[in-house]
Amino acid sequence: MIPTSYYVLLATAVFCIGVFGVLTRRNALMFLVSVELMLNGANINLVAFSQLHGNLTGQTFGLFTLALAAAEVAVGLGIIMVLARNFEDVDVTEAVTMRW
Amino acid sequence: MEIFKGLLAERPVMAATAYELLAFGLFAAVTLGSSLGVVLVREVWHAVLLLGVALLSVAVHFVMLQAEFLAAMQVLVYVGGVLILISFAVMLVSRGGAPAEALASPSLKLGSHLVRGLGAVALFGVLALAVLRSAFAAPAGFPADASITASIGYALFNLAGGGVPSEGFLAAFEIIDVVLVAALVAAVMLARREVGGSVRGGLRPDGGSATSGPDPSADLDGRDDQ
Amino acid sequence: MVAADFAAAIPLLPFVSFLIAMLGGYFAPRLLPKGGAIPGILALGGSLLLSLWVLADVAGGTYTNEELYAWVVGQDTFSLHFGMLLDPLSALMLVIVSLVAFLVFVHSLGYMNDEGETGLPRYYAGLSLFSFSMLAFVLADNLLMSFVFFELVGLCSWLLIGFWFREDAPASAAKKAFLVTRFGDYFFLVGVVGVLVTFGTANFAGAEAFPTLAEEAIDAGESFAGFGAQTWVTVLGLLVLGGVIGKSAQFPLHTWLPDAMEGPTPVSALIHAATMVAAGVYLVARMYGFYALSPTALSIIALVGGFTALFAATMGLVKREIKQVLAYSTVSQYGYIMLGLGAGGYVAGVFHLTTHAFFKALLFLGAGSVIIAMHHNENMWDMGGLREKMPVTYYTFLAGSLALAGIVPFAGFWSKDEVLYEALVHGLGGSPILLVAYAFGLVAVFFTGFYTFRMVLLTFHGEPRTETAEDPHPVRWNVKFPLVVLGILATVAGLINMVPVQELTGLRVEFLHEWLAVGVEGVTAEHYGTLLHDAAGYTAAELGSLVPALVSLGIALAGAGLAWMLYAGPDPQEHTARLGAIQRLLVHNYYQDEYQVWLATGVTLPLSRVADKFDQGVVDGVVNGVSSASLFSGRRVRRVQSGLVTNYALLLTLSLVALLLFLGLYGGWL
Repeated sequence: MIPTSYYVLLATAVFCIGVFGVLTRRNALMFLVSVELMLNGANINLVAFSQLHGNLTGQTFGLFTLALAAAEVAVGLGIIMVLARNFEDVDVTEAVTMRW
Repeated sequence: MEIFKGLLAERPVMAATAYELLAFGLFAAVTLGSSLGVVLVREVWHAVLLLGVALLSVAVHFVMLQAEFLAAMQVLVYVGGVLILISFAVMLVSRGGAPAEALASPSLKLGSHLVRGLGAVALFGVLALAVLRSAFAAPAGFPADASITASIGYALFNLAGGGVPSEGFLAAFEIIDVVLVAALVAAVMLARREVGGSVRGGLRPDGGSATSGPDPSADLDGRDDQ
Repeated sequence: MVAADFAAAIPLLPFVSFLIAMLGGYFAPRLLPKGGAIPGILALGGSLLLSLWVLADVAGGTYTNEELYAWVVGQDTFSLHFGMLLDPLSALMLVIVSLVAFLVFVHSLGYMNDEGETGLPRYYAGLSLFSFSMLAFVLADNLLMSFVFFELVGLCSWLLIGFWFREDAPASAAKKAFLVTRFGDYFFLVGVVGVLVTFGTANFAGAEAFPTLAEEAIDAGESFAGFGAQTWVTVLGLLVLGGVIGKSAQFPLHTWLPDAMEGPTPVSALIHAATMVAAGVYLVARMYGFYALSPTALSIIALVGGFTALFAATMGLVKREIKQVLAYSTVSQYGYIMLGLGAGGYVAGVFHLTTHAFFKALLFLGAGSVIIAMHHNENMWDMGGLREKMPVTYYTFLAGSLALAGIVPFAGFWSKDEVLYEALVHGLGGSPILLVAYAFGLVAVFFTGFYTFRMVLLTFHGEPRTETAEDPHPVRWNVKFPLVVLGILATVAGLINMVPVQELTGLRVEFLHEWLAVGVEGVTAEHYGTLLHDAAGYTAAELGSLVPALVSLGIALAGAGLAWMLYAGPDPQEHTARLGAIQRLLVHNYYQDEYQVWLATGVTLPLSRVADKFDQGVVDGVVNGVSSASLFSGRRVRRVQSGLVTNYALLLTLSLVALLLFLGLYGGWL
């Protein structure tokens, strides 16, 4: 078996790449895609620990995470539609009216 | 790599064979590379495709972690569902014509965006440090004769009988069902457009050619909620 | 069933009528009969009857000195309470106050209601509140309660002087009255606190009263705050005297009283002649056992009184308006009362207080009648010849004037005479300072006679000098009735204490002396006599009272005669103009008003400006600085809400990093 720490590091890396995308991309769709990366990173983590403990809780929960991610994409895309409608663009740096 | 070898040398574990490590390394590289590509390429469509690659490689990792069912679900749901959804969105949002300059990713030249990214790098640093300094036990693995998929099924319904121990997820199962319905309804609601009191669908039947006049296909107006 | 059970109703009845007048006047003015006069008259009638009952009881020997309500109960220290002291002095004063107040209410029907004044509920509410405060002040059994009601009467005075507040002069006069008396009351308050702290009690009478404790302290030779007991008693007495001087309009705090004539004449009659200004000297009489321990305080009282008597009498010589003459006359006569009290003549002082209340109220109400007749023109040089047209007013006014001037057998003669006699005998008996005061008082008798008859002659005699004087506005029974009552009293009130007659004939006619000689332990004239002799060192020289009486009578007649010579006849001239520069000085009241205004604007105002700058700059500055720091930082910090989602994500990430680092380093796993 591959040591769990390798997988955790991989998961951390994927997660942080997702965070990088969230922080730097201006397109709202890219934002959403980066969030998907973050979710996948978390999933890898869950499954790795499931193997570590020999317990299926991690995998089952990873299943749920999967389903939730799908639902979240659906809703998120709906929001992006509305954003595009209201601001003529999906640039998140344009939609800054909720501010001081 | 020295860190990894050092860790290996410390603990007497069920040693991974060299081939396993090689496979892991390869697919890890694919995952990482495509992830970096997702966040760094200019075109949105290219990024989406690279996301597909990343998701597929994650499915492979799941297989290596003895989570076959999950891998199958990953491919089905993510690659087959989420990715398609995002493709549709990309199509809908991008007006044909001008290669959306405003939607591009930041170029890698030094700019204010790079500073933001350092936050992510810092986070990775801290987390990696935490992981490396902690001791993991040897992975226990699952019993060879147990059916993992069946066990997941039993676990979802709080039933005993699965060969592999797990917690019960019946409540979560029911709730996720409600969540999915809610997400469906929310997506439909958000995509609605009300023009002059009547409800229009989110899809334009004329494929995006900008006509601001009344919609020629009146039958799409459907229910008149007046 | 004794009167003391109901004595608390004496001040409370006017308080009820105050509430009726105020609330009725605000909510239901049309329901209020005569603008609130009827409740007031009924209330004061009730108070008068109760006061007479109390008088009868006290005459029978029933005294009361009880605590009614402790509003601060001290733990291991003294308590603050309201209580009631009914002894001969307070019973007498109750009758005087309630009688004069009752008559003033009746007179107000004629002065205010019949003249069509507006705002009557406010007026009657003010009068009722004043009556309540004054009666409660008279009843008070401790110094702090006296102070409370002292201030309250000052407030009512302000309310009533400024009744016509929409004009400048009454509002300004009310403010001046309040401020000048308040200045004196500041010292009074310090004195009250001093008494409470020194003796642990402020009761006037009883075994644990502060005059008794002070007497014991002096006998035992104790010392307070580094001073000997007698010196400390002097200090406290002088502090309280500050309030007395302010309230009774003695020099130098006399300037408010002439200006207070801006108020309606019934108010002047009640407050500024008979009752409120009497509060000061009544207080001295009430705590006489305390003052009698200190010859210094007594001499100061006598000197201030004598000087004021002369000082004010000179100013009254040249005034043109009838109420102004009466105002200065009031100041002067209270000087006499102070002189009497300071010279060791407790009974004399109280006697003159009584008679003065009657004849001065009479004179003011008579002036009110004249003013109604003259359509509110007060200038005496516009009057004349009113004698034929207003006989009731004339004869009662004449009775009052004869009493004021001190002509036998009217009331003022007996009382003023006794005051001067006491000053003379105690002065000759070993306190020469009193002789100086006596001299002042004696000279003032001449001036008193002069200005009184100048006033009478100019107003009522001679030929009418204007059309209004030829055809004066008639006055009704509600004006004449009080005048008649007071006229009778001014004539016969002197009979209660005719000292010369007793000396000459041996008849027992010193009723007032006997009345005041008994009472609650420690506050009787007998006790005061002992104290004056032992503690203050006052001895009476052996001198008959007849000769000094004849001397002062002669001087008064001389003054009256001079006035007759100058102002009788059909067409009197302004003889005072011949005094030249002196007349200017007197008309300007020795520039005392200007001096006090200068004290306020030239001394107090710059000081207060400095204090204000400190308050605005330092105190407010600190507060504003704190708030501006908050505002500034808020303005900066809110820029975090940039609206940009990626910024928020960055903040989240960095916070997570920081948190992890902190927890890791703290927990040891990093």
